[in-house]
Amino acid sequence: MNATTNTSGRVSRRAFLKFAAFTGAGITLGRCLRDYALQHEVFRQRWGEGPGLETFTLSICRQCPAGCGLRVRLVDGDAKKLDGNPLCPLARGTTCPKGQAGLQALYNPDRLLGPVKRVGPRGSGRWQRIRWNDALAEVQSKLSALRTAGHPQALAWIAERDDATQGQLIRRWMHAYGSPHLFEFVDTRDAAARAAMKLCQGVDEFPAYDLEHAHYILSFGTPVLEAWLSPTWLARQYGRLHRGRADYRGRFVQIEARLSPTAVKADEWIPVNPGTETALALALAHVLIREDLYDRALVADHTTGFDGDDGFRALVLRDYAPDDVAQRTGVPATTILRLARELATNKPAVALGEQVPLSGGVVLAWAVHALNALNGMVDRAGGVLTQRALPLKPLAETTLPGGAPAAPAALTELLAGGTVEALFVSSSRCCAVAPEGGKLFAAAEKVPFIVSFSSALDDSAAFADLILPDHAPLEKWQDAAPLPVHGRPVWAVSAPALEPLLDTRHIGEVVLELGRSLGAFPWKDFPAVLRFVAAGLFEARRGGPFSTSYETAWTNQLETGGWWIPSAKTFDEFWEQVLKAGGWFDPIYTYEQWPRVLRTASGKLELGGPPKIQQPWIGDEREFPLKLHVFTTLTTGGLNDPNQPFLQETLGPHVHARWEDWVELNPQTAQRLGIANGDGVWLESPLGKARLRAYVFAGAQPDVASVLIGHAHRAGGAFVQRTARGVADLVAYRTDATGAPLAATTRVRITKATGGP
Amino acid sequence: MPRWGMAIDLDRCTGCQACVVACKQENNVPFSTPAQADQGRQISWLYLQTEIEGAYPHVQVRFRPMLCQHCDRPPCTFVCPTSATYKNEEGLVAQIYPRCIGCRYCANACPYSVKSFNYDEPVWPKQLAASLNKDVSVRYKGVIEKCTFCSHRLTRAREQAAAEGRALREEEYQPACVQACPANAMVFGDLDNPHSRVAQWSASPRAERLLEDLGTKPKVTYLKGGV
Repeated sequence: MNATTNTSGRVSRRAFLKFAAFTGAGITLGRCLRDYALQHEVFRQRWGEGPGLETFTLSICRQCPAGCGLRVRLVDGDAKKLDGNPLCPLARGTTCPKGQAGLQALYNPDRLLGPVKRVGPRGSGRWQRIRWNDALAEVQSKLSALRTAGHPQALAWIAERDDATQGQLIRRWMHAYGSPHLFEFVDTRDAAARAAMKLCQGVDEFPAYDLEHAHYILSFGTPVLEAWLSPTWLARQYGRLHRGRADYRGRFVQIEARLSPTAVKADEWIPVNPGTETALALALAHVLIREDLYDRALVADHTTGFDGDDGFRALVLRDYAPDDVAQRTGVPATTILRLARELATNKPAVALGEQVPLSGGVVLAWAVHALNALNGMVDRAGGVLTQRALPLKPLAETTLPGGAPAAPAALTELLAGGTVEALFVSSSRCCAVAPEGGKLFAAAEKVPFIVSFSSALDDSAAFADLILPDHAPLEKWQDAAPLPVHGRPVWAVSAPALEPLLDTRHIGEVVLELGRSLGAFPWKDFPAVLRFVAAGLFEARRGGPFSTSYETAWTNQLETGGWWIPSAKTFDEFWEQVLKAGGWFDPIYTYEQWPRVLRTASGKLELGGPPKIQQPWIGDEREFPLKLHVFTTLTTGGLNDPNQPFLQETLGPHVHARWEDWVELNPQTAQRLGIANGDGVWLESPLGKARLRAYVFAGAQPDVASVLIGHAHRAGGAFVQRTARGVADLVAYRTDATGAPLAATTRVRITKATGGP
Repeated sequence: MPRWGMAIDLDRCTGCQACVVACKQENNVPFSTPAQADQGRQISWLYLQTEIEGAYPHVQVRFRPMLCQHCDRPPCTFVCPTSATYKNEEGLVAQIYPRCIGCRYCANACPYSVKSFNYDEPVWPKQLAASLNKDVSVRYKGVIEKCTFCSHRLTRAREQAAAEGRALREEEYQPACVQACPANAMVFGDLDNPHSRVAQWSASPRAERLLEDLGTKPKVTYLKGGV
């Protein structure tokens, strides 16, 4: 019997003491816990006290070149949240993850406090704060010296392509100064697509896509749901494709070497050998022609180069039979037949052939454009469109240089030549994804005077002699003219959402200041330039300020019927309206305006292709057994400032990748190499090696190494992965007629690294 | 009394993670360091869950935005010794940080693994702290945190409606993730209002609720994709 049990009902001394001890302990413990709880009962707040006054204002997202409209929530003057501008036709009240993280770019703890001058050797990281007047005087004296000596062309400028006012101002300033060396980069579009538009339609601009009306999307490696066009607009079109129509669910097929997040969300993923997408596109054209599924009327009336012994038809029927192409591409012939039939019978259907960040090549872009033409989907609802011009008032009478996709090789060559004596850099992205980027840095070291406009010590700023930090986008007057998206002209504009936090200066104001001495700049400040260019919109007598979907549809209806109702009587009233709405938009697109969209000498769409250059892979197959396939993610593509922890935490959801570069390996390949998931590995190409983390992923193709490019940097803030040698340095630089670096070029090998991931 | 719930259409969702980042920004969710992330100590009220099935080339990967399911019978509330987590009368499963003693019973009881523990004191660089949302308290080391359906937005909307002397309109209360979603894949509202989109989506033939057989009665509905 248990000693504490008392059958007589009386309490034993031992049981009483035990009870008392437990009760005492319980009370004491309870009191401690209560005290602990009370201690924390007051909410801990670390942001100081204020009245909590909430205001909302509009701005523009510059996390990538898309330029979606933003609505900023401010409390007591501090920006607290970014959401999409509900009236912006691209954003419609939403944002992509980059837009959501935008406040981490504004409040980036590693932003420069003001202009600085290098005091130690280049790249040593030793800087001295200087005053703006001194900094500008130094730049001014350097520029004057070059001009007086008759060498204005010794100045080069690396910028992001920007068709809006700031970009135009830079172009005009370079023109006025007398230097043709303006290099404009954009890494969320494929320069080859623009070259194909020029080749086939005589239009020197990126194509636009009418995805809103498409029922079927066939993508040849285009990262539709990652860093391409406007991610916000694309996500909405994806939702609409699947569930936007009551009677029809659209279909989206992704052809790509790896199971990317885009391929994950596609209705079907078709793995293809890297670099063989062109043959696949032409095999589809073969089936369309052989089975008489192509648009005979469009081909007969609006194309040239189709018939004849060396015409398009003869070429694809001879060289691109599905059975032959199946072997090269790894896509079964039955799948090729099915895809062609799906494309032809699910109209409106569009094929996409842009690859980013590295180009798929002009031959692929041409083949896909020809496929669209064959399918009758050029300049028709749901097909490939030609951007309507944005009627901004030009800043100069003369045709300005720039606007063409710049080739990093040409820039490297120019810098290495030693003729450049001053280099201005207002975009760091060009270095991040440029193959053999190390060469660019090495060449830049020859330039005696480098000025950066970065707001933090990023790749380009770290090697500059003088840094003139620009405002953060939320702090400045700005406008955006997005690169072609859906063919309709869009212009976003905004006043500063808040006062500049630091001693920074608007890059546009700096250019104006520099330009005053050239006598070519009549405007007193940047907002005056914005008003000047906006006058073109007012005078165009079409479109109107951003409006709700309903009003936009109504404007479209009216304009289709030949009506236009002005929203304002005077320019001042119009300007107020546009600022209040966040921008200007003309929603109409009239299809099949052949003279406008076919500007070739023949007035027809030319199907005669570009010369195909056979480019062997760099690296011996035995020594480097894997093919390198590079990609960017939605959260890193086009991103100017990677020092944003929220984006670093969400890099690759499909493999749980965060914070650092990685390579995706097929389980079989990884097993053969003795590599486990999460291992540290060396990625080695004939050009060098870099250390990465390996993820074993069933969606990776055997014998292909899929690697994130443009993420790690040579310099950057506390949240940036830093490396002396990035993935881009290992990619061989190969190009075609466009000058844009090609994606499928390099062989690599992977070995396990010792000493942890 | 409304019964707040959410529906997520996986056929619209692109897996972009705008909701994930919007949630972090709105709710002062601290970011991790690479070392913390490696230890599985990253805090996310909403994250993109990935399921991988099959072998190359027949691989199926599914993305699912995963957040507190705000169960009508929440297992986490039954095990909390201090009533720090409880279900309120509108069906929101709430978390009172000062009451939490960090025992993590709730995190273990949650079949959806959506409760995060603060292993460390959250660190915000001074500059970034300016973007912290004043409506949401910053948590501290030793407490559990999770999605609240942005209940501070409900409080604000209700105060606004009261100030204007009218009833709260359902659409005035939208969590940050729903507001951010560029694909319009998320809807939120009163599940008991048959005219609300969330009620209609939840009654879709494609609708599924996670681990329903456990009897948790989740108020987040997923609409299956690809069908």
